[in-house]
Amino acid sequence: MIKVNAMGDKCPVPIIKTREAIASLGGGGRVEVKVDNEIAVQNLTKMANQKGYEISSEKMGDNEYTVILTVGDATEETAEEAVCTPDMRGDSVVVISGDTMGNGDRELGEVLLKGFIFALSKQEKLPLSMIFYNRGAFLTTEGSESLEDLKSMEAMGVEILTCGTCLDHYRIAEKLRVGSVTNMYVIAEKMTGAAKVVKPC
Amino acid sequence: MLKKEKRLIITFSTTTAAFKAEKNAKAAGIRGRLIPLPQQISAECGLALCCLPEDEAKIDKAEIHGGKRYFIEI
Repeated sequence: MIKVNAMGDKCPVPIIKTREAIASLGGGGRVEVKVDNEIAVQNLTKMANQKGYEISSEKMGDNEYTVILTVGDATEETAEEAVCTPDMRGDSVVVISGDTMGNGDRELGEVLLKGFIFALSKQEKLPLSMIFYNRGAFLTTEGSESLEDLKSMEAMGVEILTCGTCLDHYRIAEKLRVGSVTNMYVIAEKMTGAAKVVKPC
Repeated sequence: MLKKEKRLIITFSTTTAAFKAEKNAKAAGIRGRLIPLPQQISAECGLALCCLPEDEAKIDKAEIHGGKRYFIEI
């Protein structure tokens, strides 16, 4: 694996450095890129998407993101102009208030909600924030099958917030695996300040 | 669309069959998950099992009785 340090670099520098690393692989392999802003993650994701590379990304801390690209053997790195795209986040807030989508059969509801979060992570326009409360808190904690999708959205700048009271009530505060803990004042502020609130459950 | 990766997609005729397939896949150690039926396959609302293409041999041995299989980028 080749490691690329693009901390402090603004677009298109992270893309250029990553392309150089991919070219030096001389075939298939993995490249790990460290960047300090979510726009760089978005642009690397777009590049990987266009080129057919596999990509996973994770927010490691404040202003620290790790992006891992897996390049197939048959891939040829061609010289193209690096494109810096504007922020992919829109102005909507997605609110997840339960662990099922809709009412009815519980197993179906869980699968639908998992599917919604997967489909959300594939949209051209991502939400600004996602808020999880009541049983929605189970989606951001250990054992959730949506963690990978949520981590990739977080790395692209989507704010993932989980209600602290809810985490305490269900005794899962120690199991939070993505985003941060929030309180009702912030939840009220985010929801009233949103241009659009999307509430699938 | 973000993060397009090549995946093996298996469709099902009923949601019950899809639920069962996901459970059997997990029991067999296959990294599979149910996703909304990709729009490239059908515009209908449905569920599909999304797996890694390299796990196809394991899927053949597991109790996964799906309909059609597709190798697509999603």
